[in-house]
Amino acid sequence: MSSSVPNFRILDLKSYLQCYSPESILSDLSSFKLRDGCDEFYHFLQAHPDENGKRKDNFIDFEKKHLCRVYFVLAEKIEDTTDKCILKLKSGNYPVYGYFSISVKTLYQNNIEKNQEILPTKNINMYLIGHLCKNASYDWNKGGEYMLQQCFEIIESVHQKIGMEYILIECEPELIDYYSNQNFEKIGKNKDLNQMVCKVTDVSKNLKKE
Amino acid sequence: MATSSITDLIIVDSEDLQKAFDRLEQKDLTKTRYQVNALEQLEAGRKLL
Repeated sequence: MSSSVPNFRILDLKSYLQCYSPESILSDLSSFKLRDGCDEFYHFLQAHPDENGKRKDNFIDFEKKHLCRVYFVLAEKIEDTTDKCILKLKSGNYPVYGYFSISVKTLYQNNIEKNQEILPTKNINMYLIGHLCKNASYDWNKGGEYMLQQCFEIIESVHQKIGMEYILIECEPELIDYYSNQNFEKIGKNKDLNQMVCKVTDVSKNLKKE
Repeated sequence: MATSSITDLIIVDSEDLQKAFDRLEQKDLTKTRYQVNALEQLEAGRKLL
C-alpha cells in the first residue's frame, strides 16, 4: 500500500446483516490474512469447535447476541480481486483492510494477595476494544494506529452520550510497548493476555489532519 | 486480543489498577494523533450496501 492515506470506509456488521446473509460474509472473509500467532483472531472470524467439540461463537454470534459491535475497515473499491480478501457488496468489491470490535466490559477489582477466594469487591465499566486486527496482506505501517484512532472516534461519540471514563484492551506481550506508546497503561494479566487501559478523554488530544 | 475478552470475567488487583490510573493522570499527552473521521467513514460504509 502506498504511503498516502487510503480512502477508508467503515462498515458495521449490524447494517451488513440487514442486507446480506451471514454465509456471504463468512465466505468473503475466508481469505482474510492474519499475522502468525493470531489464533484467537482466527476463531473470532470463523466458527471452530472448542476442546469439548462444541462450536465456539464467532463474530456473527457475538454481534447477534449484542455482546459487541463489529466494524470492518474497507479500502477503495477495486476491479482486480485476485488474491485479495474482498467484501462483495452491491456497489462493488472492497478490500477488507481490517476489523475491530467495541463493547462495554465490567472489570472486577480485588486485592488478590489478601483474598485468595477472588471475590469481586468493586467493579468498573469500561469500553472494550475486543479485537483490532489488520489484514496482514497490507504492509502500511501506520494502519494499526489508524484503526485504533477509528475505534477511539467511535467510542468518543458514544462517550458523549453515556459517559464512562476508560478504554480497555487485552493484548499479547509483544504488543505492550505498542499500546504503551498509544497512552495505554498495563493493569494486569488474564491467562496469556495483558490488560491495558487509557482514558477516553485523552484519546482525542493533539489531533491533526493528515 | 482474544474472543474470551468479550465474555470472560476479568479480575484485576485493585492496587495495580489504582497505580495505573494514577500513571494515566500524570501522563504527558504530547503524542500527536491523526483525525480519521470515523463517523463519516461509517456513514460512507453504509451507503455501499
